[in-house]
Amino acid sequence: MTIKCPGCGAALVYDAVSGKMLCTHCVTYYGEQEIGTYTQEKDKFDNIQEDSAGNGESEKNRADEDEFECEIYKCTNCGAELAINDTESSTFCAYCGQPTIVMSRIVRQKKPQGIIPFEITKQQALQILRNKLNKGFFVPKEVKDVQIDKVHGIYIPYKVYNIDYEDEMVLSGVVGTGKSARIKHYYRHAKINFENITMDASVMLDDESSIRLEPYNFFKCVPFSQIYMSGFYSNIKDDDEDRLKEGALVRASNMFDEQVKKTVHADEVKVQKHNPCVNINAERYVMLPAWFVSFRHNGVNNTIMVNGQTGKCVGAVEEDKKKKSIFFWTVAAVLIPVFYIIINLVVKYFSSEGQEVDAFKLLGLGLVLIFATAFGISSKFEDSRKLTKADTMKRFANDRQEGDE
Amino acid sequence: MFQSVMIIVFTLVYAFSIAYLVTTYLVKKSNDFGDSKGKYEDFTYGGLDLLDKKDNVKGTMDLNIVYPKKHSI
Repeated sequence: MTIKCPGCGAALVYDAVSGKMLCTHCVTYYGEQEIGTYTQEKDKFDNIQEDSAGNGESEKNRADEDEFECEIYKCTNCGAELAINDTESSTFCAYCGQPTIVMSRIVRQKKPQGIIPFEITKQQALQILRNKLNKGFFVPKEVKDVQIDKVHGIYIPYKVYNIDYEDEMVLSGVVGTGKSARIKHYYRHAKINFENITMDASVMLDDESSIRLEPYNFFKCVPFSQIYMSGFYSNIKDDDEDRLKEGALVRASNMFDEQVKKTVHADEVKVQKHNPCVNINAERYVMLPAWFVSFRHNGVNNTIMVNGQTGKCVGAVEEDKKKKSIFFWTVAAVLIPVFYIIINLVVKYFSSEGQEVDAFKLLGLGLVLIFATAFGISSKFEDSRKLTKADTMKRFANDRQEGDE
Repeated sequence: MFQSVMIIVFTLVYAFSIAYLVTTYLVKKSNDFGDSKGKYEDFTYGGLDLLDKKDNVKGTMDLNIVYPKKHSI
């Protein structure tokens, strides 16, 4: 449903810059107190439900298996019918372009306790992304000049946990090198109070993508209010509570182990035994903001996320293959004479000691390390590319009503 | 002869593999944004509180603290 401007009756949207509701028609700003339309909205929502109950089911049955399950609602502004993704709680009308908050998903489900409002505007998000792309030496020119297809401001549902983690552990580590290397054991008893460990609670969004949007500044988290959602999309929490809790505990455990290992001055430190005491002392359901910017390049859809609070960009774009190839051959050409000299020196040094074969063994070991590092970097880049190209990401951002373009 | 051939082979392999490494690293740096995740520092204000530490203990050492467990991992 639409929050109307008290002055002219046009739809209001949340303005990230002022933190107020903005009427784009008469250019007037309204604070939260000035709006106070919740009761009216609820009445309207009830009417929408009645309208949709009559023909919504039959429309659902027609949906293909590949499509998301939708419900049909009427736009409260122009009366058009809207198809809304099953997990969405707000959308734009496809016909009149008005921001429409669909209360059904919020009312029926648990209401979020907090929300971090958008601080980055759509233009700022695009500018941040453009700057990133323009700075990239290997970003193809077509991508730098690409026509952005869609930009969606989406509130992502998260569960946020405060966890007190205490553990006593026996760790092992290797001290010394070569023949004097030996394993030592260490005892550590420590605790950490974790705050605001975030877990994305939307099944549609890949966890690996959402985790990269972190961190969010929770000092700016405010009690949930619908006015912040006006003008943006949102998804409701549909992930399993136990899975989220388990995920948060695993994250806390991994971070705890990592910190304790740093207190041991040895190599290859491993946890041998532990006795953890874990207490989740608070958990909240909050909405966190992100911009989803979609564009097509070489027939492939790319979706890059921008943290709606901090402006952090998350995604990877395809490299300019021609530029990469030229760069590779240039570097190789420069390195050939350099390595010819270095390897000659190494082999001569070992030959003078009568250990020529050891020289080649050492050089072979060096190669293995170089290849392992290079493939590690390459596979990380490929993982990022897969997330940017992922179908779920595309659907998450694109399978919504278009009215904001 | 063997030594000369090996030097040429290693020179070429090293040059190409380092070139590959440098190119891959720079491509990732240029085209991959925000692959970092939330870090430990983002989720705690107090830091690690080390309550007790002993170096050079036996691997078979018993852990005897009994906690009132609320959640298990």
